Amino acid sequence: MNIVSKIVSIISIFGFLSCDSILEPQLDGTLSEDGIWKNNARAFAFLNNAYNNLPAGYNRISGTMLDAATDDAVCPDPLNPVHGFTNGGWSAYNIIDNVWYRNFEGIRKVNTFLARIDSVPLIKSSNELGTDETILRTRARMKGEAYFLRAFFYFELVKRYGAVPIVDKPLSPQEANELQRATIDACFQFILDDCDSAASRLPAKYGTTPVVIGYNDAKEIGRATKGAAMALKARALLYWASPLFNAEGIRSRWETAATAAKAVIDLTEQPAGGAKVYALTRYTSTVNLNDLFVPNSVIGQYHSEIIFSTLYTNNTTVEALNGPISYGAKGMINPTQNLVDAFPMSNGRPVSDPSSGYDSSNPYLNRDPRLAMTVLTNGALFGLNDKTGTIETFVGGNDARGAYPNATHTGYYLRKFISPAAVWDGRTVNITRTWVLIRFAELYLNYAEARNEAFGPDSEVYAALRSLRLRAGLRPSDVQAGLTKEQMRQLIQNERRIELAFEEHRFFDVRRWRLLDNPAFQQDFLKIRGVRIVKNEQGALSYNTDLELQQRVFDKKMYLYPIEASELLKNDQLTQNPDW
Amino acid sequence: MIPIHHTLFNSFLYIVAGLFMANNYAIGHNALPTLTAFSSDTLQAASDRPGNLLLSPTSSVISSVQVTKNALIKVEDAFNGTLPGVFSIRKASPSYGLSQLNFYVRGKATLADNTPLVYVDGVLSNINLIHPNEIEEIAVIKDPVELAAFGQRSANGIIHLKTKKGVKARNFMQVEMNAGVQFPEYIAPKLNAFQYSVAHNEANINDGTSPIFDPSKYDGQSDSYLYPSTDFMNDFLSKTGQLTQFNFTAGGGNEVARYFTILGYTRQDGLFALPSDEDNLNPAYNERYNFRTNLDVNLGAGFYLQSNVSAVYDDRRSPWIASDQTVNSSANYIMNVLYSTPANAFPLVNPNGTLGGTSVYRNNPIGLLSSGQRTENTRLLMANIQLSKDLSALLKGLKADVRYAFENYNSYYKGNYTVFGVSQYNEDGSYSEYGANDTKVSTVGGQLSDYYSDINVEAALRYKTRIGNADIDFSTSINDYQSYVAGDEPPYRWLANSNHLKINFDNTYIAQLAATYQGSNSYARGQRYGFFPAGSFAWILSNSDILKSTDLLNYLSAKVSAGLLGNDRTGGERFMYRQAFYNTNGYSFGIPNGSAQGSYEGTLPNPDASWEKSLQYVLNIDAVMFDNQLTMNASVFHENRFDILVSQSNVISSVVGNQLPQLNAGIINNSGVELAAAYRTTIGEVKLIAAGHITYAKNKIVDLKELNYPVNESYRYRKNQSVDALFGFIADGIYQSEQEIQESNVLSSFGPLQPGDLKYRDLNNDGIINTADKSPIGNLFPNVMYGLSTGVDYKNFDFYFHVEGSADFYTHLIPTMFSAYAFENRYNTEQPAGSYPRLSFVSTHTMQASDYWLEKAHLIRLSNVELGYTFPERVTRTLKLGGLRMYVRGNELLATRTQRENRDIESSYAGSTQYPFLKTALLGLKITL
Repeated sequence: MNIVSKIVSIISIFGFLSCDSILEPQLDGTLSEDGIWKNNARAFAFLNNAYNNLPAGYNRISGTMLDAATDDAVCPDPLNPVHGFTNGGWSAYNIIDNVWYRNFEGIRKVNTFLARIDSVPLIKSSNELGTDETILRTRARMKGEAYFLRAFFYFELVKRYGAVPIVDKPLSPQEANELQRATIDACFQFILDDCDSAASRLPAKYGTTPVVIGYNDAKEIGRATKGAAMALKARALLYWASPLFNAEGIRSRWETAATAAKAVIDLTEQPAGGAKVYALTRYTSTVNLNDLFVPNSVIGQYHSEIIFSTLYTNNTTVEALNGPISYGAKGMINPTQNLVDAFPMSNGRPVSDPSSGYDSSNPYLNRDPRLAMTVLTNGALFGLNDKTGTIETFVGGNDARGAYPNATHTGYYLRKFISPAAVWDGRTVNITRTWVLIRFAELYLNYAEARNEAFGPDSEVYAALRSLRLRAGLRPSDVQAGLTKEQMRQLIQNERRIELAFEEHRFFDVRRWRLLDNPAFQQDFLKIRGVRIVKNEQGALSYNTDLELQQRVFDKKMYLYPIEASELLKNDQLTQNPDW
Repeated sequence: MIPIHHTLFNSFLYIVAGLFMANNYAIGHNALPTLTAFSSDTLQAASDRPGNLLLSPTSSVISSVQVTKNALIKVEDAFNGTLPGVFSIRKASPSYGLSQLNFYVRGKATLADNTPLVYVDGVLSNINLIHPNEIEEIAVIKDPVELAAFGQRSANGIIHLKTKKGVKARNFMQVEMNAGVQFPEYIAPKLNAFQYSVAHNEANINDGTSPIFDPSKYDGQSDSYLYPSTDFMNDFLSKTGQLTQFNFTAGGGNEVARYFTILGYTRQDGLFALPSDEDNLNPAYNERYNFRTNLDVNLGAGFYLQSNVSAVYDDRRSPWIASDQTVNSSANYIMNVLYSTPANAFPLVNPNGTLGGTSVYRNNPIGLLSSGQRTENTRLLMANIQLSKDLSALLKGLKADVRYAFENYNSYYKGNYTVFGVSQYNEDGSYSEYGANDTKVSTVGGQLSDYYSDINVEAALRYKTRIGNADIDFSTSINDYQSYVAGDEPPYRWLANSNHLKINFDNTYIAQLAATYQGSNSYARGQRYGFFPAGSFAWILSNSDILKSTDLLNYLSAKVSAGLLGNDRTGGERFMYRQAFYNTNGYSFGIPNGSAQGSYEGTLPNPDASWEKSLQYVLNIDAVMFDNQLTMNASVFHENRFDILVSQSNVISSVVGNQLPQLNAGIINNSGVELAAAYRTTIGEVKLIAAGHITYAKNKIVDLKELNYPVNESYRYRKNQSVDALFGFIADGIYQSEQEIQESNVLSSFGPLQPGDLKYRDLNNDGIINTADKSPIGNLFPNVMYGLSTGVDYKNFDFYFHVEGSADFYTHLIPTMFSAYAFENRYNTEQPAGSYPRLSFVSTHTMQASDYWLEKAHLIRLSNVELGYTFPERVTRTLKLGGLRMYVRGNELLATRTQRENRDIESSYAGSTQYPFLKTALLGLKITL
């Protein structure tokens, strides 16, 4: 044996090293594909997770609300990014309200679920999910939820960006870089088709009906329903008919939108008829608008006006962020004089109408009851955080602008959403709440608007508006008869503004209506006003309701969001929105 | 070996021999005959390194003498510019009982972890707890041929520590004691109550809110409870801290067995103090007990056993802050409270004896420092057992080694604390309480906070022979390294086969080849193993016929090396190759907070994920001149690091809808020059030795898969910049007036502009100052690092100093709005020439990274200076001692600082919101029994 062969034989004992299996790592607590897609419960859980991609809810924009970018409110924090919407800082590099990834992530989750769910093996025997039959029924229903969620995520994108790429399967990174924006009509059609696919698979209600579908009990309330899918479709149709997305002014789109809204209003629990699924609740001394968001003992948790909302949480953040400063809160969103002026008198007439009875020295007297449910005005009795008192926004008052940077700039604080029971200093009383994504009152407004545009102010339009005002505590006769189509349009737009204030509608409504094309409207919209209240030595108050606070900036490109510059750099097939 | 009978002078030669003869060892033990006399131990060690380290040490080496001088309490602290090619940078968060340095070999070449791995006696180890006096030598391994043995873990260089061993017939016992006083290098000056109230009011006005203080009340006449003025830094920080060290070493042995043993004790005190009732102080300190015994036993029949066993017990304490605050972060938390609490925030104690505080400032330092104790106990056990067998009977020149090494690290914390409340004394004599006192002692006990356990098994065969006039060394080894970590993460495992061949032709031409095949369990099947080849060729010109060695030029050699290396500490997800799913993140339906299960898809996989690859090339020239008085080394190096993990989010549209895996696609080059020289001479009774080195290393990003920026924004690319290039705004001074703001016609995305704000350049001319206007404004990592050590021996006196320096970089002054410097230099309408931006609580515009906050830096630090006296033999003989030496030592006494604010160049926070760095004056005594 020579030296070389000895060395070779020595080396050869190391041959085992090339065996990969020695280095196979142990499991580390994560699951493989099979762990999800061979297990029905985990596959269903995969779709549950996609609900987390729904809009984040209250104070979503760095602690304030999107409505601070409309003429309804201002954010007192000078560094809040929401000011970018209105001071010209908004750009493809300075993205505010960035929901691009959040929704495409949701879309991927839904697409993955839809691609895999039908091939999850059945078990041939009953387990905690029930029999194969119940699994198959649950599967069908969850596919309905999946289509609904995808439509919802797409609508969130389309109302901001206009046309976006249509993705109906889980993408590889390479595929993601080759997508183009579909046409705006194709995007709406995709949303409408998904709403139809969802509506045909979903139950009208969870919890109250007998168990006819797997998982159908009270634990499932909050999942998408048939009504939610139909309401989303009605909303999408309304947007599609609106001037921003209907450049040619195709009238039939309004007709379709009206029909879709009416179908939700008339929806019954069983296809053959029966009880209506949704009903408007009349406000009383114990029941009002805010019970939608914070369930009270009279209404109970599942308000008959909620069509779709996010999960219920327990916290005091909404109160602590938005309440008045003398109550230990931060006042992160201040309603404007512009909004307060939009609320009519309790006789239904606008404050600008000389016959309305508006008294500029007592401006909050005899107003539409919804004003007090939406806005905290000076002198309002209010309790929060274990403190009871009156709101003092007069100069020198406890809630007025002074040493605290976040004291109201407008003279008003938010009332809507806030539960007086909340306490966070010293002891804690949490509030159970939900963020309502679609509620029944919107369908009346959608119907009235679409019907008026399609057929003019007929009795159906009046009836819809009167229903809303009646339940708010006004008289049906307060809706003035004999309006022209244009007058009716303005009335509906105003009604929509005050009914849905702070629910993220105004920002998109003024855009889809292209109201900022109108110079007069634009001037009002951009000039933000507050109230200056001075208390004289006798204690009498004088009001200046024309206190100019901000002169904002708008450009036509701002009808749509810019797509983040980096997205365009990564995929040169994507095009930017006009003029960004 | 252990300097029992040493004088400083010859021990210093020993240092220098190691330091600068590095490359010569690679070439042959006879390369430097005159200097090897001083470093024969080192050479012995080099050839004895088993397995991974059986290759020849082409490295820079420092010895025990220099280690103990420079490593005040931690071995790492000896890397302060003593090792050629090692860049040492102070950590951002200093504390007591911790190493102060981060270190890198020849600069940086990746965005991921750039630090070298540290080995002790051939095994990857934690050196954080080792006693400096355990160390025989520290070597920096830089040659690709040697590094190749470390495969996927080699590209950042390796630092190797060798512990001391017994030497036959040189029995000794030695006791060393020293005690030191430590002073903060810098304590940031703070605003007094009057100045703070003025500054606060001014910021309020700038922010459009109302001033809230009446500065005239802070005149010393008003009620000091309502208008307090507290000097927190002075009241709660001692001017000095203490350092105490003691160690006992013994060694020796005979032909059969040799031993070295050490018992060490180190204590460093924190600086916190209480102005009164000092007994209530929960102390801050670190105590460490070290024990090590290294045994070498000749078992006969060709068997040779080496057993190195060490144990450490470390006890670190701080006042209690919270469960998730370590001793280190607690110390920095307290420091931050002392610095950031305004002087007029509250009186320390109220008229009624309660602790002062307000709703905003609840951290009364009296409460913080006296309401609880956090204790962290760490135990480290290391064992390294090696059995060697001479197999000459089988084949002449064949040897085998087997090694089993084990390291176990456990760190526990416990806390005992009470809760304190504070009260605000109001003008009307009432009190507002914030939190309540709770004197019940709560205990958090025995939580395991950190754990690992490593096992390393290695077997090697070595074969030496001579064919013709060529000496041939061949060695091969297998190495299995496993590391068990806390939690449910699977253990790390690496398997390697390393081979090395050296052919030495007549001590004139030497060729070496190394090849390693190594795999780890972090990659996909089929991707786990890599091949790491390297080769070198050396020519010893002074041994050749062309250039015979003379007294003028004793030695000259040139060597080229090249190799393919790797770095697997890339960060990111460990098992990037596989698609993970998770069974969490559900949603609530129905009943509030009722929850439905969720599951989701983790980050998308990258099935080809791999380690970083590195092609390294080195040219080395070594020379010894002037009768061996001057030794010199020059190296030129170039590294091409590729397959660096980069984010795909810059290249893949987020429409994909999930987190994207990183890709092995980045490229960074790093090149430079390293020069080192040592000179020794004797003039009469004065012996002098001086050694210096300087390294220039500059890296350049070649590709990171960045976004494609528009043509007019090409300054945004990191490409062609260095790894540590800071991107920020270019500030053209300060806006002097509203008019100037109007004229500049730009908006800031960081809030409305006011006079007194920095005037940033709108580089892309889009009218908005935002991220797109940030360009490279300065490199934060030094391109140049140097060190100079000098020793002088005169009669019984010895003197030594060490200076380190770094240059060609910028330091970033972290903005602090209410500092004394800001107060003095701020812009306001009365002081429009102020060079510091206006004060504000809300504006973040001026706080952005910009060249306003940068300063060109050149750091020179006197790291170490020592004067020693060795008592004459007649004195020691009367005392019946083997030797006696006394010394005074100063560490970190002087350093250049930033021009503005006088801060530490490497850590802008030290001494303000973070614990200060310390200077040390030390008196020591070393007694040889």
